[in-house]
Order: sequence, then structure tokens, then C-alpha cells
Amino acid sequence: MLTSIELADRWSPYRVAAKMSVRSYRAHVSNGVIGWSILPRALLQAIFLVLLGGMQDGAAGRVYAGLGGIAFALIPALVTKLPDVAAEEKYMGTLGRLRMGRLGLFRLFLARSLPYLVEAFGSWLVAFLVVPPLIGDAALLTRFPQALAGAVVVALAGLSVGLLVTAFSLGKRADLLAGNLASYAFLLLGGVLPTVAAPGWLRVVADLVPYGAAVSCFRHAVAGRADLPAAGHAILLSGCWLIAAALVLQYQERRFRRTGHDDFV
Amino acid sequence: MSAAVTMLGAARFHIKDVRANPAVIVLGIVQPTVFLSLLLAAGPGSTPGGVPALTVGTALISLWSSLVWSSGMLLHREIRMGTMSQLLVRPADLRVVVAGKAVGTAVIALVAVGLVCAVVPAAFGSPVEVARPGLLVLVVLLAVVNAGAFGLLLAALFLVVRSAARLAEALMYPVFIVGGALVPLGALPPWARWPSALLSLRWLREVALSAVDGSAVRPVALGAIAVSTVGYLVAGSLIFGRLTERARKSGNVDLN
Repeated sequence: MLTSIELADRWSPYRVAAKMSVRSYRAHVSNGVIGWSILPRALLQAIFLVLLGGMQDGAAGRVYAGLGGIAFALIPALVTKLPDVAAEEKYMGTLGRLRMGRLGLFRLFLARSLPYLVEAFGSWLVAFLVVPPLIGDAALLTRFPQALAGAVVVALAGLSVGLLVTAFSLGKRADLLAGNLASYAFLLLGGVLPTVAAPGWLRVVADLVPYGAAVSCFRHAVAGRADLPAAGHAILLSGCWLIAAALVLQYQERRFRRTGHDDFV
Repeated sequence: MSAAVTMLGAARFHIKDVRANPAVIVLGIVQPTVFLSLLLAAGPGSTPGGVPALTVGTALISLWSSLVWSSGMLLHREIRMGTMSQLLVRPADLRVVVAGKAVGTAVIALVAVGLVCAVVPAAFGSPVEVARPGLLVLVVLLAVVNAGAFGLLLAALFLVVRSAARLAEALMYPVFIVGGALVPLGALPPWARWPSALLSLRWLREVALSAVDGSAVRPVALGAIAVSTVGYLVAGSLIFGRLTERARKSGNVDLN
């Protein structure tokens, strides 16, 4: 049985890491950047996907892509920007100091995902408010709690992929490529746009990534029909990806110790 | 003549410098492959122009993304690497060097995107056949020259702001939507259609589609590409001139 002091002591490194991550995030991202770059991007990205859906399948395509676009709004912060934190530590030569901390790299980057989760949900909220009128379904706004529940599952999928990308970002020349690949993979494998003619091999790959199941769960949640098997599938896959991220980060730490340097730039 | 040699030298150097850069792979190969696969997987739907229009549109938005990220960030990279002052004191005009590097960006992007546009539609069983290959070569050359001028303007604009990467992010989607490259203008409300007239992507698309389907080229499209190239060049040169003058006066090459 842990005493309250021991419990506080156990959580203290997480609290410090999360607090520092918020400070670091705010040092890079001013209110102006949030106002003229991050939120407009979420809005325009959703509009672009709605238009592509309309090109593919008229009004039905707009609705399909609109919901996919709302889910996709969660992804750039978690899959592209979160791994940048690790890449920046690598370039700044500060990774060695971080490895000396009480938290291992996996738990550290998990704690440091806090501001990116906030950004992801902020972008999601913008997309959620803008898309319903565009697709002619303003009633969608009344299903906010269900949509939020679905968004949590998508965010978990994004976080698990983002942390695995983070692990690979510590390797040589992988930082820019891995994050962007994972973000575009969401469009391709997550079922954001109607892909009726997708080749079989693509569906096999999609089944191994948590994106598709998470977006399916989101679509069902928004429709008011909770799809518990899809949610379970997405959560299970996300768990597997989190374990993979922990293992790859552990491998990277061992490699750093073995070689005596963090310089895999 | 010496300006042309400098420009070609800068383009060649830039191609050597960035050809193995992961950004080239992301913007020149991954992005168009994903967009084209997504669009072709569901069929061309009601898109006017069908598969060729989707292919040309995807190629142009990838060219735009490459220009924003590569040419726009070009001078920020030089400043970060500490090589900006070296560029400023060279006898060659920095504007010519920057335009040359933007041309290099366009060449790499068009080669990569061209490969994707040849392979992906064929993989989906809808290869794009070109009715007038000569005209397509002309469009590619026009796109390269236009990109040189556009790159100069973007590089100058990006120097004015401190958060250049965020500006790049913010600039991508508006052009995807109203640029007239991929999304048909008919799908936009009337008030959102006019910005595409100012961007060369719409006109390059029109001429490229004429090359693919063999239809007659409208002189207005060629004229618009020429006018936009001159316009970007003049605007970029003016902003650049002011910034470099300010840098010389302040003795600080951190131009923003």
C-alpha cells in the first residue's frame, strides 16, 4: 500500500515533465501562431477534405469525408508535431541529459504529449464546429458528447502512432520522413475519404494500424450507434502500438548507452 | 548571360544539396501518391476532366507544397546555417541565386511528381495518355520558369515573418482549396473563385490538360502564366531589395 507521500513522489516526475512540456510548447507557439496558423489549418484541412469527398461522391461523399476530416483534425499534432519534440532534443544535443532523468524515454515523451493532446482536441473542436453546416447536417452539433467519445479513441490511436514515430525519429534521418509518412498514412488507411476500390493489400495493411478502426468507431459514435467491437479493436491495436513504441525507445536508449553518444543525426 | 549562368549554377547546386533530403521524398513522392491513390481508389466521380484532371491537379498541388516548404524556407535555412552573409557579399545578385534555387526545387519536384503521375494511375488501371507531348514539355518548362519567380517571392515573404514554418503550414490549404489546381472552381462559391486567377496553378492546369486531351490552348491561359511570372518576379525583387538594403544598413543578416 502506497502512502500519499510515496504516491505524490511517484507522480512528481510526470508532473514536472508535463509542466515543462507545456512551457516548451508555449515558448514555440505563441497565441498569434495558434490564431493564424494552427486553428485555420484545422478549419481549411477539413474544408479541403469535404470538397474532395464531394468530388468523389457528391453529397454522400461530402458527409463521409466531412466526418473523416473531423477525425483527421486530431492527427497532425500527435503524429507530426509530437515526434518533433524528440527530434529537436536530438538536434540540440540534450537527449543525453533527458536519459539521465527518473523517467525513461517512453514515459517522458508520454508525459510531454500533454500540450499536443490539447492542440489536437482544439483543432478537432474547430473542425467539429465548422464541418456540420458544410455537409448540411447541423444536427451533428447536438451529438457533441458522442463525437467527443469517438474522438478520444481516435486520439489514442494517434498518440500510439505518434509515440512509435517519436521512437523512430531518434534514429538517423528518420525524423521528417516518419512523422509525415504517418500523417499521410492516416488519410490512406484511416478511411477518411470513400475508398471503395482500394486494393486488397491496402486493406490488410489498414487492419494492422489503429487508424481505420478508430475512425470507424468515431463514425458510429457520431451516428449515435456505439460500435463497441470497433472501439475495442482500436484500443487493442493502439495498445499494441504503444508497447511497440516503448520497446523501440528502449532499444534506442540501449543503443545510445552502447555507442556512448546520442548523435544519430 | 552571366545571370543565366548563375541561375543555372544555383539550380544545379540546390538539386545536389537537397536531392537526398527526406522533404523531397515526402512532398514529391509520398504526398502525390497518397492524394492520387485516395482519389483514384474511389474513381474520378463527378470531377470534370476525370482521371487526367485529378492527376494534373495532384501534380500541381505537390509542386506548390514543394515550393512553399523548399523555396519559402530557403533563406531561413541559409541564416540558420550561417551562410547568408556569404551569399550577400558575392558578386552575383542574391535574387538570381534564390530564383535559381527555386528552379532547382521545381525540377526535383516535377521529376518526382512526374514519376508518381505515370505510375499511380497505371497501377489503378487508368494510365494517363498524352495527346500532345510537345505541349506537355512546354508546360513543364513554363512551370519551372514560373516556379523560379514564385520561389523568389515566397522566399522574400517568408523572411518578413519569424514563424516561417507556421506560415508555410497556413499557406498550404488555402491554395489547395481556391488555387484551381485540384478542386474544380465550380465546387466553390462564386466569391471564392477569383483568387485562382492570380495564381499560376490554375492556368498551368488548363494548358497541361490541353496537352493531355489534345484540345486547343486558350491564349489567355498562356498570357496569364507569362503575366504571373513577371508579377511574381517584380514583387519578389522589390521585397528582396528592401530587405537586403535593411540588412546592410543594420549590419544584421537575420533579415526578419
